[in-house]
Amino acid sequence: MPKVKNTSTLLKGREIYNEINKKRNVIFLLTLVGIMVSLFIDLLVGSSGLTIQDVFIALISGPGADSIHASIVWSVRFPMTLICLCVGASLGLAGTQMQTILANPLASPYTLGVSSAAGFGAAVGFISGFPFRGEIVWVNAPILAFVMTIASTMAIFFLGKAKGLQAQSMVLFGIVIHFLFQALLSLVQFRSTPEVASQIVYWMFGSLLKATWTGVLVCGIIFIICAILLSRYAWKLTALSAGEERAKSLGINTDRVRLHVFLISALLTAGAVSFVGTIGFVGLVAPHFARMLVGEDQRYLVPMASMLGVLLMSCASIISKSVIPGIIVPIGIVTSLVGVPFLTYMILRRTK
Amino acid sequence: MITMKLSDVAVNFQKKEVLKGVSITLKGGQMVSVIGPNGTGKTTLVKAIAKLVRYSGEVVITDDNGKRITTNDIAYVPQMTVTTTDLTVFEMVLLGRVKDLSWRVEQVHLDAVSKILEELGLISLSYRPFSRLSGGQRQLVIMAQALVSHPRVLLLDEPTSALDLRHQLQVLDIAKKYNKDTGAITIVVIHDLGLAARYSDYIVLLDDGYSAKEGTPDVVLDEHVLEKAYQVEVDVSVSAGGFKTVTPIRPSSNLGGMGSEDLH
Repeated sequence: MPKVKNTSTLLKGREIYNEINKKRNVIFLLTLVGIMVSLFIDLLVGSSGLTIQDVFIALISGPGADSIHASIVWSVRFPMTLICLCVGASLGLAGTQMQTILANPLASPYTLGVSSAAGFGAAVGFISGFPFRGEIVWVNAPILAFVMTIASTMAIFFLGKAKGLQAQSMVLFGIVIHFLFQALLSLVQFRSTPEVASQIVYWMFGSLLKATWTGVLVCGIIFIICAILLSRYAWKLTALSAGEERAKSLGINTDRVRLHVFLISALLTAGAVSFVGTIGFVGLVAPHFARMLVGEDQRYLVPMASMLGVLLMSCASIISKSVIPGIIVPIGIVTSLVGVPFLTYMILRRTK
Repeated sequence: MITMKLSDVAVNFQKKEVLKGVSITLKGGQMVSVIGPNGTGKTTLVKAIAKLVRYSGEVVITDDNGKRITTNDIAYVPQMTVTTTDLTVFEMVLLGRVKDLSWRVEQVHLDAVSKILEELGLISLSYRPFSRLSGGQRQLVIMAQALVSHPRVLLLDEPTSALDLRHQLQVLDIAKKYNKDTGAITIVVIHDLGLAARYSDYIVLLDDGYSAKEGTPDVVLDEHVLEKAYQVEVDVSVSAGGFKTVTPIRPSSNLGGMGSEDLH
């Protein structure tokens, strides 16, 4: 811990504050480098056996080039890498905000049942052929997943409102929603044909193979809009992280902040899971690591959690593509398997 | 000089009347203690002034020119702050100015924080996480957080209840100094009647949701007044330092035991 130097008060204020933020800026730079490296490796790795040279040539030749390599890189790998970026950032951000406004370290899109609601929506999309038929039938699952995510969040919110928007009640209602949609999802699976059931199971795994340019665009735009909206709440959320009563006594309307941020987090989650399926642990683990690295100041915590979300996703993506040669393991399985030891470590660390 | 006028302030919690109608007038530069048995609405009263609870009646705070003072000029320090936040002491105090902070923190706020930390002897703790401070240090940091916004009304809810003797005096000395230096109204909810006698210019004794007695320490810290409110026989004497001290002797003979009303 640095020592406070004996200088004039005026100098000291800026000096102390710069010192607090100095470490954060270094961590930021290192994480950014880590992300760039991992995303680049992610682009190079795949089941089609392309060499680094092939990938470079395909990238330079552009999306319109008439070659299999260009087609693989621009239609499969690039969207997969970019969706890693968008989904990781969205889940990291949504998880951070849910943990902050609900004052619960276990809050995340996954644990609050929002992801299982998305799964149910996708399942209904697969079996019903609603709302679209024909060539664009593939958009049914993302659309219904999106709708159900928003609906489940609203349910948690309105139930929570009956209890005065208390953080603890909202977490419990989230768990209720989780069980409800798990049951409904099982029911849909039970009643569907083996082909559709396997489609649902595959969706629930969470896989980047579902990545499309449309998905990248939608998820990316939602992330950018939500990040801008949330930046307005940075100081209020920082105060909220110091405790509900503190925040209230500092003149912050905590109920209003909680409502707005909860809805924005739902939108982020919906954008992220609609196109790639259920991906657990990223939204839970990334905020914890970000908090350990840069502290509670939301101006640093939020970008850091998003960046760590991207790093986790891209590392998981690389593992998912390289652990079994020629086969891409669904990324949701990898994030969960990697997330378990991290979470265990953090729980042990907290109880010390 | 600012003036605070409370007219018939009442608060209900789930159909239970906690505060039944308090009317008092306080003046700037006064250090006011709110005393009374448990469950008589002391905390609720200061929360009503800070607009943290809904109330009926009126709280009007005006400055010299008769202009109304808003909640922006009121700082409320709750009872002992329990939080696991990783924010550093410096950042915690900076949050006292949360309403004025923009994405890039302006120099004026940083200067204000370091100045108050210096004044309260906390500057060497600037980098330490708030959650790793002792109870006394936390209370001082929360005081710094309240004072950094230069409030014209400072509300302290049992600021000394979990502190050792040295920190009790330190916290109240800071509050008193701020009060005298700035002419603010400082209201302290306090159980220790000796400290109330020592630091207050004015004392409000709450009993059963009403203001049972108010005035200077000499007036309120009277054996009969206290016995009636607390239902305890007390001995009021003057210490060597010239301050009134209140020593409880035994529960009043007409007290059958602690009723459920007292268990708040």
